[in-house]
Amino acid sequence: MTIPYREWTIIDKANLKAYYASPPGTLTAIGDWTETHQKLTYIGDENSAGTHDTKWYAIFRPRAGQDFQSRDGMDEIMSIEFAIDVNLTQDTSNMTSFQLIHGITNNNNAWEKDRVNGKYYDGVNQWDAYGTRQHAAALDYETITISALPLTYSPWFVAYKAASGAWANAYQADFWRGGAHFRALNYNPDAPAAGEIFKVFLYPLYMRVRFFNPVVNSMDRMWAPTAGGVALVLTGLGFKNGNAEIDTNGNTNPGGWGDLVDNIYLEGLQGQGSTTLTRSSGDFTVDSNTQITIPSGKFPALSAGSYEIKLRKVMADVGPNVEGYAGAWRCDEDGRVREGEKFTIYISDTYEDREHREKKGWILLTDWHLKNKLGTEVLKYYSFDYVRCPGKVYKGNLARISAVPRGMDDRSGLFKVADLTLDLANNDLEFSKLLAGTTILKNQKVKIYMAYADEPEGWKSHVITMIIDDYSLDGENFQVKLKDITQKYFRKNIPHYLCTKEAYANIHPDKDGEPMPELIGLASFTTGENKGEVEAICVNTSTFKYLAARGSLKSIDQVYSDNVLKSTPVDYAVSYGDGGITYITFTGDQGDNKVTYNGKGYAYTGINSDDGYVRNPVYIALYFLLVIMKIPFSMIDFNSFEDLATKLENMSEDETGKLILQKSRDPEEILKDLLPGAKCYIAKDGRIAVGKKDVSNFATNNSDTAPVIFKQIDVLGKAQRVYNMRDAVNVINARFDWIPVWDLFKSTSVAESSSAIDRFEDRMEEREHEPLEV
Amino acid sequence: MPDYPYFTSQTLVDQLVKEYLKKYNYGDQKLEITLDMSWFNKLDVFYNFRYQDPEGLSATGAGETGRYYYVENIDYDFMAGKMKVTAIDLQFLLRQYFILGDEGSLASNWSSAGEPDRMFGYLCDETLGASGEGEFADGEPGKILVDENILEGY
Repeated sequence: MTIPYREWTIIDKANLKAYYASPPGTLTAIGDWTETHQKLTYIGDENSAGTHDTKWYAIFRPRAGQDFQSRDGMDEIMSIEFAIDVNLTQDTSNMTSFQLIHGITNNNNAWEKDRVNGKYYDGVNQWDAYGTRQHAAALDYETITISALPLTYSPWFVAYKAASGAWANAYQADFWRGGAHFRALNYNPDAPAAGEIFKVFLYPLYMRVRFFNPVVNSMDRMWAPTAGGVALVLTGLGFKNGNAEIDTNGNTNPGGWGDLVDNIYLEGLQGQGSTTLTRSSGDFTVDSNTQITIPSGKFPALSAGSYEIKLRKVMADVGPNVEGYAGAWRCDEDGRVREGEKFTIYISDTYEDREHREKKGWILLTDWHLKNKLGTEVLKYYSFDYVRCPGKVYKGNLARISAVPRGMDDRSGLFKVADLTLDLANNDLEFSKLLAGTTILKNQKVKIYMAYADEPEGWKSHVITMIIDDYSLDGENFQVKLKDITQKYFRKNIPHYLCTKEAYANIHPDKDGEPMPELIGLASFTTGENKGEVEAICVNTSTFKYLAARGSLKSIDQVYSDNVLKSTPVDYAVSYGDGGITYITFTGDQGDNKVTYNGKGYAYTGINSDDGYVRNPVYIALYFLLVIMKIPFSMIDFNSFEDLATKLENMSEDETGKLILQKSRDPEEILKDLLPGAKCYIAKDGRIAVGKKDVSNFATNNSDTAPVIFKQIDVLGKAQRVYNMRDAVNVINARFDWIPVWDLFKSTSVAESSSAIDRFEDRMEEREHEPLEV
Repeated sequence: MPDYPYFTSQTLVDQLVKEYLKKYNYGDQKLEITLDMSWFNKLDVFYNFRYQDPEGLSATGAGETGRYYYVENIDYDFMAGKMKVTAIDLQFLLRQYFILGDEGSLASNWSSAGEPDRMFGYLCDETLGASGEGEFADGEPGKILVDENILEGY
C-alpha cells in the first residue's frame, strides 16, 4: 500500500564540532563546542591523547527554495525517511562496528546554513541547549559494520514509539525547522583510544516525508444540479491508510490509528456556506485507500455556485483533524505528491459542457509568485480584463502577450526552450509602485492559465510556468521578458565542481581548475594501447593523491599509470573523504603520468540496478537531472522515467548506460545523448517528462483515445505537409561508448536503407561528427 | 549524426540506428496546421491525434481517414486566438507492422470492423474491385499478402 509523500534531494548540511576536555562529560556546556563552520558532514570521535578530544555531529535540512515546510493539506507528518551514503573517512582504531544514531534536530530557531556551528545556530546566537540537540527516533540506530562501508543507509523517524505515542508527528515542527541529525555512538569493541580517530562521512541523498493527509487526484464529475441527487466518486490516495503501513519500521500502535476519512465538506465560494457529509451517517463510503463514493441519494441539494471540497480524518493520535482539499495536492501511483489546484465543483442548472464553453470564449490569467526581501511570497494577478474570482482578483493590466511556444526538437529529442514577452499597462502606476518597493521579480515564477467562459476559476487550465528574466518600464508600458524555468537549472557548467589550488594547495600545476570527474554506470576499458576510462586528477603532488570522482564510487576496479596496470595495496589505496570524494593515493610518485581507472559509479536508492549502482540509461538521465543538475523533485515526472526504464528492462538492456563527465560539455547536449531514442519534453503541468512512441502507445493519450482533427471543420487556413527531404538520411555510421579521456568511441553501428539509396540515387549521410567536449 | 556516447550495448545501439533510419530515410515528415483555442485541452506536446483530410495522401484519391500523428510543437497565439501545431507523421512506426489479428477477437469481416481493428491486417482479395488491385467488398483499399522476396530492406 502506498502512502502520499513528498521528497527533497537538494540538501544543506553542516557539522557541529565539539572540542572538549577529556574525559568527556555530557557536552552540555557551550564551552564544549567550537565555532568551526563546516559543510562537510562527519560523525565520529577523535581521542587526541592530550587534554581535549573531538566529536562531530552532522545535521541536514533540505535547501530553501524547495518548499520545505508544512503546507496546508500536507501538514500532518506520518513518518520520515532519510537516505544517506555512509563512507569511512578515517579510522585508526580497532573498531569493527558502531551505532549510527539518527533523529531530528532540536532547536527553537532554524540553523543558518552558511554560519551554523557547534556554539551558535546562526553564527551569533546560542543553541537552546547543548549536548546531542536531537530528538532521537524510536528504533533510532543502526549498527554499522566497518567492513561493509561504503553503504547507503535509510533510517526512519517512525510513526509510533512504544509507550510514547505518535512520534514523527509529535516533532514535525522541529523537523521543518531543523531537519535531520546524526551521531555515532556505542563503538565496538571500544571507542577510539588515545591517539586514535574514527571519522565517517555522511552524504545526504534524500529526505522522504509521508503524510496522513488525504490526496484527491480526480473527481468523476465537476458539476451537479442544484437539486443534487447525483453520485460523485473521488479518486486519490490516503483515504484509509492501513495500520501496518503506517507502523512500517516502527513500533505498533496498539490502538490502531483510525486512519479513515470521516467528513467531507462542500464549501461554497460565493457565500453559500458549508455543507457537511459524514461517513458514519452513510453520506459517503470509503471504498478503499484510493476511492470514496458519495452515492446519488446522498449528494445534497445546494445553492448555485462553485464549491471546494475538503476531506477530514478525525484521528486521536495526530491532528486531531487531518485535512486536505480535493485537488490542492496530487500524487502519482507511487504516492509522490506535487502541488495542484483545488478542484471546484460547480452547482448549476444551466451547466454547459466544455465543448460549448470553449466556443463561447476564453480568457488568459497570469499568477505572479513574487517575493519580498524577507523571502515572503507576494502574489499578484493580471489578466486582459478585470476578473473577479472568489479568492483573488485579476487586474486588467495585461495588454499583450507574445506567442507562447511549447514543444521539443523531435530530431534531437530534447525540449525546446521557450521565451515570451508580456506587455502590461502602467496607467494606474501599478508597476511604478511595485518596482519601487521591496518586491523581487528576477527569477520568480509567472504561471499562465487559460479559462473558459462560464466556468469556475478553479477549472482554469495551466498553459506554462516561466520565470522573470528581465523587465523595463517606459511610463505607461511595463514590459517583462520571461524565460523557460528549465534555464534556471541548465545554465551551469558541467562538470560543476573544480579541483583548485584553493582547495588543494599541492595540486599538480597542470591540473589547477580541472573539473572533478563524475562517473555513473560501469567504466571498463582494459585492452588496447590506452586503458582506463576515467582520468584521475593529481591534487597533491606531495602525498601522490589523485581525485578519482567528486562523489563516492561503488568501486574502483583497475588503476593505470600511463597505461601500466597498478595493484592495491602495493601501489595504491582507495579512500573517501572531503564530502564523499573518491581518492586514489599512490605509495610512490607518478610524476607527470596520466592516471586513469575503471570502476563502478554512483548509487542512488530506488534506481540502482541489481548490482547496487545506477546503470539503466534512463535512470542515469534521471540521476543527472536530480543530482548533478539539481532540478527539484517536483519538476520531474518520475512515472514517465520509470515507464521508459521498464521498456529497457524488458529488452534486457537496462545495464547498458554510462556517463563520464571529464571536461566541459553543454548539459542539454548531455541530456539529449542520455535518452535512448526517446523524447524529453516539458508537459503541460510543467514537469520534465520522457517518452518513446511505439506500437503500444500511438493510439491513446493517457488512456484516452486520440482525438480526430477534421481538416474541413477544425483547421484554420491551410494545412501543410512537409517532407523535409533535405534532412533525409539513408546511411548511418554511428559511434557509441565514448571514453572522454582518450576521446575515442569503442565501437560503431552502421546501417543503410538500400531502397532509399536506390530511389534517391544518393547516399545521404548526416553532417560530420563534431567533437563532444569543449 | 546520431552518436550514442553514453550507451555500451551493440544490440541496443543497432536497434536505435535502425529506428532512426526508418524514421528519416524518406525525409522528416511533418504536418503543420492551425487550430482555434478550443483545442487547447485536447492537445499537448507528445500527444497523439488522427487527421482526416479528404485531400490527403491516398493512392485511390480517397483522402486520409485518421492518419496518426503526434505533436512536436504548439505555438499558442493568444492575441489571435489560434494555436499552430507541428506534428510528426507516425507512419514511420506504423508501416513497420502488419499484424494478423486474433480471429476470435476481430470482427469477421472488414465492413463490420471498427476503426481500431482496421489498423490491423485484414486480408482482402488481391483481384477484387474495379481497379483490380485489391480492395475489400466495400471498396476500401486492402493489404495484400505478397511474396516476401520482393520486400525490400527496411
